[in-house]
Amino acid sequence: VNHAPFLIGSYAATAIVLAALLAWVVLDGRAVARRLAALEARGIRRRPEKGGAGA
Amino acid sequence: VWDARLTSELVLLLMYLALIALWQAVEDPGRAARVAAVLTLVGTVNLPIIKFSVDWWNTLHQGESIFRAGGATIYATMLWPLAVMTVAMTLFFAALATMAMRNEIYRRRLRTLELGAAAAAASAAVAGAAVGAGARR
Repeated sequence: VNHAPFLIGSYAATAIVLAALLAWVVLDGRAVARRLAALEARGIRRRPEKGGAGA
Repeated sequence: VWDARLTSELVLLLMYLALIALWQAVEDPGRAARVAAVLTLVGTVNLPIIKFSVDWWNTLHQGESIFRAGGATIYATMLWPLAVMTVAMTLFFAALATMAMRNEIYRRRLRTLELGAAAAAASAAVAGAAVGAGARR
């Protein structure tokens, strides 16, 4: 019995699902980071910046 | 059909779906996390049941075939790919879970900042209205 189609199909299906999962997490991370950066650009931060800290 | 391994895995799937539903149902992420953590802890009881289900009940599923006295009974051409893929999947999901945790931390920081900004805007509006009312008097 030739098992190759079943094996190749299984590996291919798994690879597609894992790639989709990875893409989802990476794209979600980028979207959240982008929204955080937009808020910080508007001057909204978690803690107020220390005055003259870097000067 | 009601094989012990399959049935205990079905219970695991149902608990996982319940976890997702619970997480979505509670609005406050902090409270949702606590409730979900409790369900997760309760759910771990199912793991040894799944593991030992093939020993405790007489089922269609084969008995223990890897970690057993006298060595594994799986043929080497299947055992090695299984071992390699087990390690690979564990590392992949550890990486994925770490990335998802970082995303969640960012998401909560974002929520805190947005709530803080909204509260500041609301109090500024109230103060502005009070000043306006005082000037009209």
